[in-house]
Order: sequence, then structure tokens, then C-alpha cells
Amino acid sequence: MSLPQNNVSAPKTPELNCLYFYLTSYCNLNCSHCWIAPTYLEKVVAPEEAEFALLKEVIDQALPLGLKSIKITGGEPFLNENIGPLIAYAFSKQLSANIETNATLIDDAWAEFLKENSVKHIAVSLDGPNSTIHEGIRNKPGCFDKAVEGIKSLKRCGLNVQIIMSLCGRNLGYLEETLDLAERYGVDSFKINCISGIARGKAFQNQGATLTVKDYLEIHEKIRSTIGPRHKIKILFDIPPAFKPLRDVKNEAGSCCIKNILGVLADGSISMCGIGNLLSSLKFGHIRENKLRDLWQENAVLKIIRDEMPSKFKGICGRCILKAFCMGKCRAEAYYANNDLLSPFSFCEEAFKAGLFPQGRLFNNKEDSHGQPIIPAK
Amino acid sequence: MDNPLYRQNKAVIFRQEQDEALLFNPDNADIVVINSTGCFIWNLCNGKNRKKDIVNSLVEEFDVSPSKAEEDLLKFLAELENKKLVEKKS
Repeated sequence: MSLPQNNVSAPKTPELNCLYFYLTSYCNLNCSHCWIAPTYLEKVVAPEEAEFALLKEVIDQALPLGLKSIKITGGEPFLNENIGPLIAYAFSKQLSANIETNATLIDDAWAEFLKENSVKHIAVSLDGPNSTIHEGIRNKPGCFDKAVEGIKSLKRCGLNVQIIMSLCGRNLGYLEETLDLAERYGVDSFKINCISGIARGKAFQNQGATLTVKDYLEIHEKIRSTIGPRHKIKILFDIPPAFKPLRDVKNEAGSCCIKNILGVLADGSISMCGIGNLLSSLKFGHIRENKLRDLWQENAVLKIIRDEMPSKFKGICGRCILKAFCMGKCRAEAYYANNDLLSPFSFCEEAFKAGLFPQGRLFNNKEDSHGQPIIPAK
Repeated sequence: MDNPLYRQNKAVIFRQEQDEALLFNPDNADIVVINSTGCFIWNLCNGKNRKKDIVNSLVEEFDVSPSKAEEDLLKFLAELENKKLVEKKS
């Protein structure tokens, strides 16, 4: 893909609503499917990569651009001692804060701190209902019990907790037991992720350890018809919206706010999201050297995102009626796979080739496909 | 504008699945899911029917008084108009 020259020609820049802080490039787990692939660390404190003043500076520069919320993730963000000051600073600026964690480092004191600072939502990765399944995927003995203790601490403080289960061949048979566990501990929602085909996730795919699109669609249907009604907890399945029933299209997870976010990497680099950890071509600059406003307004990749998405999406994404809503699901994965931000999302492309893409979600010949050729004849 | 015409925005994607339908405006990514009554109204927004025509059709089709039909219709169409899914013409 050829990138255009940087150009300050578009006066109407979208709001930068959310910053994703990939707070550390280290993790105390070594998960088989991780798309970020952080460096494994035995210790409970990671080396500081960007000093707190730098993180604060990113927030200060993002506020006038429309910042309303932050998401803190990693690596495992609680390995970074700056997480507390960052959360407190976000709270002082009335920003909504969400965290993604493996919860192994969360105790009652942390939970109380998060409550005091009005953290809105904590997503905890849990890939099974027992240590054998969870630790078999996360490759760290003892991490199941620690995660469960972390969840209990969070719920004792009344925080909003979501369990994220990354569904693969090894834990598919344990989905219901994991849902039971979530309900037993009063977890607020349960999100099922498909394994992303990036970094270790790609290697996991290549080993045949992940599920096929057909498998994911079958389990999605099973959740709707039988598993969901047997459970009270809210279940979200992170498949693209084209595969969801109409009433779930808008209400569930499944689309990326790619036009309104930036990723802040552990060292203070600015990227589209965490993909900058893996692909330097998607690093836009560094907060030490660049003004955030300049990057937000002038970066060439962001210009493609604003000007060419969704109208120039290729393949199945260009033909989907929900393209402006879905925004190609995960552009990081598309770029990782094809070196092209506009290339089709692999899940949808695979479904289409297998005859599993819902025909009703495609533009038909009578409709304007908004910049795309009318569906070509087969 | 007491008895306006209503016309579907031609850019809007309409998909009916079972007893509900999705209205999707690709220009602003706004999505509305409507029930079977909403589908009935949507199909009457063809640029030929005026408000009173649609009210009359609702009264004929459903067990509803003209005043209640008009009240609900105006509320529903206001939402569609607000999301640029239908256009109102005098």
C-alpha cells in the first residue's frame, strides 16, 4: 500500500475520544494466543519505559482534542508502577477509565484504589474454569487462583468487571463452566473473543489450535439458542456485526472506534493502537518529539483512516452494508496480514469464501455501495 | 407542514429479517432496528403518502385510534428524520 504524503489539508479532524495506554511491554503471563506478544517477566514490577510525566503530558495534549476516556492495557498494566498515578490523574481530569488486566496482581488495596478513582470497567482475561485449562493457555502456574482472587477483590468493591475468554480448541468445551464461574463471583458481563491472527495468535492459528470461522459461528448460534438463556450474565461475542442478529448489531461489541482513538505505547510512542508494538510502520511518532495535535491532524496513516475508510475497503468489507458501522472490525489485523489498511477482515473473508457470510448483509445490485463497484458477478 | 409527505432517504439500507428490520444510514453509520409496525410505516414513506394517509393506513391495519396512531407515528418519524433516514416535505 502506498501512503500519501503528510498533508495538513483536512481542517475537519475527528475528536480524539480515547487513548489506549499500552502501559508496559512486559507481562507476567506468557499466553499462547497474545496478539501483543509482550516480553515475559517473572518479577512483579516491570522496568519503567516512559516516565509518568510523559504519560501525563499525553493526556494534557489530548484533552483539547476531545479526550473523554482512557483504556489501560499492556502487557500486564499492573506491572507498571505508573498505573496508579495515571488512573488518579485521569480521574482528576474527569476522564472515564477502563482497564484490561489478567488480575493476578490485583488485591483488596488495588480494588479499593480503583473504586476510589471511579474506574468504570475492568476486563479480566480468564480462559477457563480451572487452573488446568486457564494455565494451559496462559503458561504460568498459579495464575488461575490469582486471577480469581483478583476478580473477587474487584467485586467486593462493587466494581464493574467483565471476564474475557479467548475461545480456542483447548477451552471450547469449558465455556459453560467458565460462565458458571463468572456468575458465581458476580461478574457483570462475559465477553468471548476470537483469537486474533496477530503475533502469537497467528502462530497459535498455524498450530491448528484456534477455531475456524464455522466453529465460531456455530458456537455463536448455540449461545443465542441454548447457552445464553441458561445464564443470567450478559454475554457478548466479539464476532463482526454482519453475523449478529439485527437487534444485537448496535448493542454488542464488534466494531472498532478507529477514527477516534490513538495508542500510547509503553515507551511513549504514538500509534494507531497496540499494533505499533509489532509494526514500526504504524508508529506515528513519539510524545517526546512530536506534538500530539500535529500527529493527530497530519499523520498519513490517520489520513487514510479518515478519508478512505470505509469507502475504499476492499474485498468483502467493501461489499458489506455495515462497513461504515463496523469499520472493517480490526484494521490492525488486516494490516498485519496484508500490509494494507483497506484489506478485508480475515474472519469475514473466510466466511464469505465458505458461503457463510449472510447474503442480506451485502449490498445488492440496486443499492449504491458508496464508492465501491456494484457486486461483481461470480 | 400540518400534513407533510414522508420519503425514505434513498441512501438508507433496509433489511428485513423475520419480524424486524434494520435501517442503516451509511453516511453517518446510524442504525435503527424497527419492529413489524415500523416496517409497515417505512414502506408507506414512499414520497406519495402524507401523514394523514399513513395514519389512516395504521388505523385500518391495526387496532388503534386515529389520535393514538398519529401520536405514535409522529414520534417514530421524528426519530427517523432526526437520523436522516426519512425526509419530510411540505
